Amino acid sequence: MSKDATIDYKNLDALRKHTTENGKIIPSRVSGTTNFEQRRISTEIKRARFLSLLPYTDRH
Amino acid sequence: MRHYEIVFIVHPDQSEQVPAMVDKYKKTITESGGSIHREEDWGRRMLAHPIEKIHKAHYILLNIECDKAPLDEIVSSFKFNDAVLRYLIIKRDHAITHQSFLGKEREDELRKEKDDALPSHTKKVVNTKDSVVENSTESNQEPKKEKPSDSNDADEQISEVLSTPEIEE
Repeated sequence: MSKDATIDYKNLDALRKHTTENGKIIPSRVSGTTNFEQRRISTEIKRARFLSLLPYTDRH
Repeated sequence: MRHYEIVFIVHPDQSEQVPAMVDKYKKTITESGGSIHREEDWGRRMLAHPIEKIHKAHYILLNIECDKAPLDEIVSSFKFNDAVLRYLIIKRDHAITHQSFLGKEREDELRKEKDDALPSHTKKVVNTKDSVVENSTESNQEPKKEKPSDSNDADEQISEVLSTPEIEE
């Protein structure tokens, strides 16, 4: 599989699908995401969190 | 020369200084032989969580190609500038020139605001112009460098349309 350009810290709608209501990253065990994709998704979510584009928790 | 993607967040009270800051950074890059591949202004966004008790901030995205020295210079200016709340620098493999997801979001927002702000009789004119611009950007997706100039033209057109009815009234 080639690098998917839609997995990006700027693509918030795509990343929100991989977080729970309280902002946690959904584990691949639950979502069925491949290991390759899950690693990229988690780093991109963490980048978005750092830039305050996504929340860390729902208790900010 | 390496490719970098920079996002930095500026304090909303210092929003007016942003164009001057970006110009300064661009100057340090181009003077050292580097180049700017993408520049986006996401405007003032609500933060997902407060940073330094601030809830809104101004976002800027830059995709650049430069050596380490000018990058270090920019990083140190981020560190010593109290207006910069946060910055993120990512190494990229290649030049990224296409519009980002957040850049597109911002553009749609601006377009909507302009449409809403207009009185009803001028609305139609702008709508047709907008659709023309949309078509042209869609067809111009291969020559990506033309995109920014296109949107600037559109902005100018819209601001012209915006300014004239105000004078009449």
